[in-house]
Amino acid sequence: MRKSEAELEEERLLVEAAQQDRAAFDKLYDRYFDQIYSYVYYHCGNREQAEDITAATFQRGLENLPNFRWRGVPYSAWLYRVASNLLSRDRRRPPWLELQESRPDEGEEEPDAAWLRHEASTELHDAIRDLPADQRQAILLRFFAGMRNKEVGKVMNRSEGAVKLLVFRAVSNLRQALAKEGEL
Amino acid sequence: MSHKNADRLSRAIDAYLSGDVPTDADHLGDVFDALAAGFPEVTHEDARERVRRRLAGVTPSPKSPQVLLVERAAEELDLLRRRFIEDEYVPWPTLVGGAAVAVAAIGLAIWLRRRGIGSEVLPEA
Repeated sequence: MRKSEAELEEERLLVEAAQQDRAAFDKLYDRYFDQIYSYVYYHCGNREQAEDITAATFQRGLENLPNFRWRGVPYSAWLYRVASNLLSRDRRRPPWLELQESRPDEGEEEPDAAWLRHEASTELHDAIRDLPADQRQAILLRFFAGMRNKEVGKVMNRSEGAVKLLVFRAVSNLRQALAKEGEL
Repeated sequence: MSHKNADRLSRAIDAYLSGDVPTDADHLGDVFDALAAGFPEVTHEDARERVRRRLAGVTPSPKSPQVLLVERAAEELDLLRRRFIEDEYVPWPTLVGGAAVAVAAIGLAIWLRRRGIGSEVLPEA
């Protein structure tokens, strides 16, 4: 998940192209739609809300494109930041209502293995759901987006040390919750 | 709460995400495995196309320095709001920094406005 130097350079060139030509934004959109949508979806657990927040994120990303300056923070991290801010403001309904029955298509798999994996994943999602919002956000940015603490800090507007503590608390809470469920 | 433990865990996660075997947090290997595998990227083509259509009418809009400063101030004020109105942990140094940035941004925006700087970069209506 973590971006290589080559990927960052490619991203920088795509941003510059999109700043020159609106049509080039489509490439950025296609590159990051699934990432942002998934991140929002795992955070709020609702497809409709995920779609709305993803749309608002890319709308802001497009509107603010001329003002974006590459200062060591990738455009994708900035999109995560916008999505995070929108998530914290948009708490319209209880989260995680539909996550368990709307899992992504995972292709062919043995039924037993698929069931066991689904159960384990469900327990994990339940445990994540019970975390405070900031711990959930830090865990998703670390493990889903593959960000370093410093990048997570920029997205969440926290210091690197605060992110370390958030992740530490989150992992401790998850260990306890999953141990109770007999997962680990 | 031990900062040393948090540091150790952070190094172990970095090692894990880099593909190395974390040596000082072996007991957390199962948790890391579960977290790394627990969130596959969701592909939703219908949503992708619906959002693409919603974005069709949106155009990039360069903003004046004043607007950017006011937006920055609003972000920092939102941080303060989350700390005091919602149950969200925000460390005090971040709070104080945010308040200082908000005040400075608003002050600078007012100063720029009085000097008449920035309005020329607003997009044409």
